[in-house]
Amino acid sequence: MQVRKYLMVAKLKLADIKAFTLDFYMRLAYYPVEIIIIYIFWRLVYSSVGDTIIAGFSYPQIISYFMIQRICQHMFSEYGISLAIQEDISSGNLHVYLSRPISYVKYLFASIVPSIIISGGFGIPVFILLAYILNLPFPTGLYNWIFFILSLGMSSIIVFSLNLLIGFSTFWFRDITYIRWLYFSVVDFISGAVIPLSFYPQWVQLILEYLPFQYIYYVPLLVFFDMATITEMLKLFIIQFLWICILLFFVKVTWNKGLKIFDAQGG
Amino acid sequence: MLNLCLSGFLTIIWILFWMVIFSRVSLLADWTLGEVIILTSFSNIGWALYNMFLEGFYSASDKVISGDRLERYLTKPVNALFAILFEDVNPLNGLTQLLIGVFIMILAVQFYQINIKPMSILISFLVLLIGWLTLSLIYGTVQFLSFWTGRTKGVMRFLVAFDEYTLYPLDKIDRSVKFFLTWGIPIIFLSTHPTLILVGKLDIYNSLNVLLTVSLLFVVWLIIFQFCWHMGLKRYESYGG
Amino acid sequence: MSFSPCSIGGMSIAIKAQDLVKQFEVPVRAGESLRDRLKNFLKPSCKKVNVLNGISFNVREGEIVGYLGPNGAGKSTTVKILTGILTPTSGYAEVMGCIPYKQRYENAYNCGVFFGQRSLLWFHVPVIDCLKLYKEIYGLTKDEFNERIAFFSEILGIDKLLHIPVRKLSLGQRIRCELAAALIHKPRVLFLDEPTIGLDVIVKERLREFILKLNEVEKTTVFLSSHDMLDVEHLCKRVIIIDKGRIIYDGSLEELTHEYTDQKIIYIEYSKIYDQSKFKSIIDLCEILEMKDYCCKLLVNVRESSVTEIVRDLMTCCSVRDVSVHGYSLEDVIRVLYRKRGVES
Repeated sequence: MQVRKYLMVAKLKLADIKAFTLDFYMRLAYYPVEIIIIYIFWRLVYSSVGDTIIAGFSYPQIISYFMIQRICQHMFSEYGISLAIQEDISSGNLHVYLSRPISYVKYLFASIVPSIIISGGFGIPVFILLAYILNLPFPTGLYNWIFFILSLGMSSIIVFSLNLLIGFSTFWFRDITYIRWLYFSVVDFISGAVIPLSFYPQWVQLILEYLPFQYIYYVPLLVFFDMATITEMLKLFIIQFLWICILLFFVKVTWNKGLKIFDAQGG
Repeated sequence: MLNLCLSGFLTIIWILFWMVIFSRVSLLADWTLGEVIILTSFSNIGWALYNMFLEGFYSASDKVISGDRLERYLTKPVNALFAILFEDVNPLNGLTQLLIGVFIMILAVQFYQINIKPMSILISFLVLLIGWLTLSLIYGTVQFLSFWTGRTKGVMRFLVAFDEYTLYPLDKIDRSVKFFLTWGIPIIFLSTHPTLILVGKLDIYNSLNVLLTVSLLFVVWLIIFQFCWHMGLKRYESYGG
Repeated sequence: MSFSPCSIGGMSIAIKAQDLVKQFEVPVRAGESLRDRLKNFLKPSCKKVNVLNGISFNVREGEIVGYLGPNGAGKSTTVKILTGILTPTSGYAEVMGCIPYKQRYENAYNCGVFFGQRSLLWFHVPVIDCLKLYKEIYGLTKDEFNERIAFFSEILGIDKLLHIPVRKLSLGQRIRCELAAALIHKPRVLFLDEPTIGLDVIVKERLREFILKLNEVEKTTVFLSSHDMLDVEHLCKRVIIIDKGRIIYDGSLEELTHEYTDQKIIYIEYSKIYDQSKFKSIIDLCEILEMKDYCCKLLVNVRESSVTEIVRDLMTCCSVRDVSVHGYSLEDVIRVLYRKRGVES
């Protein structure tokens, strides 16, 4: 029964998105622009080594990697939740949520789900079509797709929790523009968004294994390209799930602590 | 102060990125690590200059659409166009990024012992400046389309998607793409060509050729820009804002 | 529908506040030198400010109470505590039997909140869809929802607005819809914080009529925190006035103004005084509020002196340019009250 209110939020957010269709379609226009530079760059990189495998990826694989990675990025980063949280807290809009029987965190989650589903719903078929035409590798087995979507689902929760934590830091820092800027720039490099993590020297990869960021893009993409054995995949899923638990725990703690500060400063 | 740390930090990360790439391949087409670092610093310098002086071109639409701001300029004894473009100029905005870019460039030149002729420095920076001015004019022209279409956010977002391109070497790429990036959206003049000129990969004849080309583009877009402004203003006046 | 699973205890007290104290930690601005600023960044220092210093009152069900005070007196803070947004540093509060800051959800089902300037949960969709969100939030059934919509259409006239996208509403229309959203779940208590700010006169009147009607039909308790004296004058029989976190008056509006109904203010402007001594003797009969070169403001107690006589006498000893006589408005009363408290404390 409580779920219905959040379903309604999602439904309204969907209508919101539809209200800005032109905006939405323009965003789709970025995709080719992004892909072109990726294609150019990696062509350059691979041209000097003559199409062999670098760090586990062949040239067609790496193009495929980035094409699907960009779609995932669109799915996750289109809603600017940390910015919305900053505005809600500093403008005092938070009061509106606090004086109603609705959970702010669940509300935020419900408002991002439509954009994930739409971006994914449009993006993934587009990718499949392009990959087919350009003869790029992509998984054909049903299992691969199921595992990939599962992994992606988990990484969306990880991204959500991380964005929440960044947004909640507004309770302590008031103006988090710099924090956000820093965070988003750095995360791109350590989540597999700029280069696959296998490019990094071993010691860097080792450090990254203990952080949740690689589970945002790199791990789901590994699963996508069948680059992990069954046992490795299971291990990755378990760790991914653990990270979700850890991060959600931190979200809860931060939210409670943050509210105390909000309370002590009059909102 | 925080700005300085952050810009520096991000530049370092980007340079580390290049180092990672070069740990896997020895050469990127015919670019060495040193040249690529200079490319990065040119990109930084260019962006810094844009943020310091040319931001107004990007946000001209906001000032134009909210009619009362435009009226504010039109009722004062100032050139409205200059007011729109340069009113909110804050040279401090990109100063740190500029300093870091120059610093890295000097370091790279020293470290990789790159031979530079004074003439190259002059020409490369000229190309950079004129290139950025041209891009700003393009932004401005699109912004002025809001006199007719209202919102231009979508197209601007599309243009801005090309920002990334300044960080990559664009000389040895497909002909059609290269053509677009030279004659369409002149990204190639923003970092690639200045670097090539500076490190001496283009001889004096070719360098001057590049300078001439970008100047030509500048003049063409200047004319288009002025034209749009005048037509837009006319329309604004005839519709009462 | 509007359930209060906590016990009401058989009392008809809707809102109970007992010795509410609220302390804020206000960050202190650092000094100008770099060293000071660095120190402040590493260890920010805070000043403890008592915004509420022991507020106690009881509001019975069905009352419309006005909560007045100057800026910074603690009005909004009190409302925030009663709606569960803030927790008091010490003291106790109860609304319809629930402790707002401990039982946030239950309290939210009992209360309707309307924060003047702040938007409720809106999207870029027609009004009716946003109201449907509220339907889900409060768990109303379809019938209950339709009933409420019909009720609001009749009293607030929102039926014409239901299918307009929220973005396209004027301020007055938006406020009406926001009130509907705040009251969709038939709350027993309605909290209003500066509800009429920025509205034109006609809309304000409609709003006041609506609140009176609501209180009449549904016996909703209304807690109105406002600056606007006219709102209070029209709606409230009882006012609670606070200043610097303390209650300085809690009683009926009539009693408050009664004390001052015997007082009249004479404002007189003159160009020349003919008889200085006579002028002075007349002025001395009254309390002088203001005395400038060519005008003065006098306070007269009608039981002791006659206004007409004073004015007539003044006219004989100076050449009067302008005269006006008026009684105390609620605003004047409150101003005197603040001044008195300032002198006392």
